[in-house]
Amino acid sequence: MASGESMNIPRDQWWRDLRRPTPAGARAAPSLMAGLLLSWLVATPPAFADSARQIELRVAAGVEVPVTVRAAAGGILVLWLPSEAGQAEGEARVAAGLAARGIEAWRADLLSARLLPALRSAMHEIPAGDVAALIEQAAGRSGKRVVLVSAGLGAGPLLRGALVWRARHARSDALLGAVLLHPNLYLGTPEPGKDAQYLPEAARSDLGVVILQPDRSPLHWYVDRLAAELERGGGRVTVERLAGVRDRFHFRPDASAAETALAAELPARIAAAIERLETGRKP
Amino acid sequence: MIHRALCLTVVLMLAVADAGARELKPYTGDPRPAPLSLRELNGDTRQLADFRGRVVLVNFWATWCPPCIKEMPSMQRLHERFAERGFAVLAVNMGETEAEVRAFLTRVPVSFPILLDADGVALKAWKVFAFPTSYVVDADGRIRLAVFGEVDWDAPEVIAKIEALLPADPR
Repeated sequence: MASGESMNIPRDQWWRDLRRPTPAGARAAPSLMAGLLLSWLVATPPAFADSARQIELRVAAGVEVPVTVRAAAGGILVLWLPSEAGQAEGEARVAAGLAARGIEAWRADLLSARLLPALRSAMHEIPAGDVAALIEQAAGRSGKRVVLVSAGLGAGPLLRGALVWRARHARSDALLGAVLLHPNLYLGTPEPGKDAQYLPEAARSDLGVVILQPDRSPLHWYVDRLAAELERGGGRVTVERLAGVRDRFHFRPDASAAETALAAELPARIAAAIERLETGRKP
Repeated sequence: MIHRALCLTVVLMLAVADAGARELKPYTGDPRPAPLSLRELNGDTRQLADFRGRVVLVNFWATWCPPCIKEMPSMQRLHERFAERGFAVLAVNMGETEAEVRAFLTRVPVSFPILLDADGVALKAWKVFAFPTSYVVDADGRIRLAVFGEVDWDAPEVIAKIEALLPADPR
């Protein structure tokens, strides 16, 4: 059961208790009860962690990465890395949705930390060491298993960072895997008629990966080829095709009704993908 | 303040450079086109080989692709401009249903053939990795020009490149 649902039950329960006819002996103390209730409401933070807080994590000398944290009680932490579109508002909604399902979500603004623009070219400028340091701190501070998430060209720095982290922590299982939204791991968009070449880290990665690939995308036609490339390094890769939506569906300003609907479902889809990473099940 | 303004200027300049206009360029791959044999919207099967002797613009597109939609009207005008001089357009739709394509054509009508590549067979054979992608095949059946991304088919330099492949205007 999602933790957000389970945490709502006591709140409903005390409301029902308040409305229940009060025993005669207890009628003398309604103001005390109200006072206690008011104190509890003021002093107790919301059980469902629907508010974000900002922290900064040092990943290199003089480099602090702003991280938006959506805390949750579960044992998984999603570390969301930016794509070439930067940090999209749609992703903040997904992070909130994940937290509501008990999955802690940290959105790391690696671009602003390095004064990089939200552009394709910037994806090659993110140092792998920054990502590895983030993984280390996310796992170390939270004690949770980390799942990396990114979209589009963000898959490149994600895999590079995971490789560096793996080299430093060969025996650790703190990094569970990655959920990649329409990953673009081409060395560059191939010129017409030329074969696509993948970034070398695609074949070197041994991460467990779940790919969520919209079918209204040129990437859709080659996703099995990409999955095979990602499996060359030994990781288990599964592909879930998303029907009727385009890449970046979760933050498109021109989103169709189908895209808006699936964006609302994305936290559940990612949660299911994480479950697949945990169990090793194919969809 | 000045530092911030400078950063913003650099970012904007990079953004413009990254967007980069697409140019119809000489094709550098194998000039022999992959087979292209697909069902047309009206049910007929069309083959590229049927167009031997004509210059053919083979365009890979989809109705959900904004740049594809944007270039479609100028492609129609190019078709009209050169239709009587041995020029044809074959627009290969990627993986959509006949109903989706027909609905689109009521909004953006075109008179050139629309072929349906339901399984992406042509897309893979022609190594299309981005939408739209266009190839220009000359009258001898060799690929001469190509581009991925949106093109303004009304642009004089684009028209000149197509016209250079066509027989001289008899008028």
